Amino acid sequence: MSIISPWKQDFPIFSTRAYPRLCYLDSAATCLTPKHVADAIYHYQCYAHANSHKGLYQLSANVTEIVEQAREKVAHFLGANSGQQIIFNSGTTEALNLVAYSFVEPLLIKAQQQETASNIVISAAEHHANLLPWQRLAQQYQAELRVVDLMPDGTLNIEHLRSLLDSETRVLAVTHCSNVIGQYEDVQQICQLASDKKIATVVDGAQAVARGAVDVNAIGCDFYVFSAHKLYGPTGCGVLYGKVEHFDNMRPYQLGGGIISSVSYQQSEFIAGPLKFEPGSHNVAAIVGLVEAIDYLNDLSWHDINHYLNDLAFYLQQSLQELKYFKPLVKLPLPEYKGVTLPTLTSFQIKGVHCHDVASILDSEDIAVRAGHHCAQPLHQFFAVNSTIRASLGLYNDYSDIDRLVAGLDQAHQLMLS
Amino acid sequence: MGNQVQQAYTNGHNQGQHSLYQQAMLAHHKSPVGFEQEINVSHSADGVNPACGDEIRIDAELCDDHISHLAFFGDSCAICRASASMLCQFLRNQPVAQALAISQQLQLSLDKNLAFTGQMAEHFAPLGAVAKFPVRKQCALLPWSTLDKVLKKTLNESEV
Repeated sequence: MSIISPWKQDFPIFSTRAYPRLCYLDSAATCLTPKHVADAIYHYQCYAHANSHKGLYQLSANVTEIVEQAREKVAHFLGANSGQQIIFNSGTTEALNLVAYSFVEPLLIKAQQQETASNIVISAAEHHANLLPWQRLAQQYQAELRVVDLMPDGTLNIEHLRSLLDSETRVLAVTHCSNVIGQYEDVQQICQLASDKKIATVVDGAQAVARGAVDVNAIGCDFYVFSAHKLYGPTGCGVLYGKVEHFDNMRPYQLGGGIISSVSYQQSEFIAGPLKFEPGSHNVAAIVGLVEAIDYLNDLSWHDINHYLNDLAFYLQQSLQELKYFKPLVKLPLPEYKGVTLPTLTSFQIKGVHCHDVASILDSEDIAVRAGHHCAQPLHQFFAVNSTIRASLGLYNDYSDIDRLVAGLDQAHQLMLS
Repeated sequence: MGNQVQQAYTNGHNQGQHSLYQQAMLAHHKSPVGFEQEINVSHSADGVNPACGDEIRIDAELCDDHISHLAFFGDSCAICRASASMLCQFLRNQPVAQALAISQQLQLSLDKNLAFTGQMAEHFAPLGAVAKFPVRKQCALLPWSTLDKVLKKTLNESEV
């Protein structure tokens, strides 16, 4: 059996002379861009561009409308109640920093003033963006950074999590889907555990959004973050969803134009709502691209996307597990995973061959994979390995890409070990 | 297609059957000189590639401003390992100042894509192929930048 992507033709990069044989297996780093998204950005930039929220003329008013409608579109995509819960920023990294410095830091300061201890809980699976801000805050305010262990299948150890949460926990920050392991966490259960103890939760959805799996109300998180470019949109655009009651109490993370109700040389008052956290000029072209990406995916049907990606993910796992030299970071018991959402990425090693050498040899066959620690060095240390190869799937991949990956791995194994 | 895109593509691709992993390079990778060799260490330094987490340690036994022995340790890719092997093979018995000059010349050549000449071409030709693969330069350079730390330590000591 062989399946061919029905959507590959939507991605112009595959029809250019530059990359005629491109086998792109790095969608966990960034997804390629469909023509619909590129066209929307081009059209906006050429025919509709102005500064939003500031100009007293029709063109600017139209752009303001574009941004505010985008908030509603993203809110609907995430299952949020209102566009007023959506803050636009540059991506997952900035969104996590925003929560750290606008929401959590004041809690740590307050606890320190009251001479109360604090801790921050994260999981061992976090990439650097959901580790470093918490690490710095913990160091700065003498808080304990607690790390939840993982189970052998790579998911978060719920019992360990339960034991780490207490009245001194200021925030729980976890990934919805690790960029190295690829399995979906039961974030609803995780957030419920924290919520029962009145602990705020931040969920990093960077890897989860491309499967349409998000419903922030059902998850029950306080904050949810993701990047547009992991959703077939442009880079430089991300989203922070938050419970609306938090925004009023949060101080702006960055300061500048467009976020104030009044300013004197000595004092400033800030406006309410998401604009308080969006100083300067919006990256409207990127926001337009994000909206187009959501429309594109909605039009394809999430049911069809998930069905297709599950087939592909199963074939990927099955093909790799047949290789005698394949050493997965986390081994999936495949039959048990039929009928559930399979990870669209896998991290592994080739016995006896360094990951960089494998990636270089694959590159010479026009196969793009990631090799290294994938900005998750502590997670690799957790599994006692320095680096892995990561193959991750997107809408444009099909069985032939996986066959080429396997052939490339055979070639690398043979070249380096024969 | 823009010229820059075409150039980026042709730079790194279709270079024949993995010219990066030519026989001489693979020979050093498979039988590395100085790898995990026990020597009487007088100076040592650690190097790390933050982009990928590769680590290397260079040990040196120095005597009367000469390098008596060199050894290396660590988990690294074939390019880094072969580069370290060549370093250990060709810098043994060199005066410290000469070794530092060779190291800096090699790093400059790789960094600026300058062809190796003279003794450099004779000893380090396999490393020259790395110039065609910009993303792998850092792998080849790691042992040499680590060696610099070792040698500079000795020079600093001699100035005291």
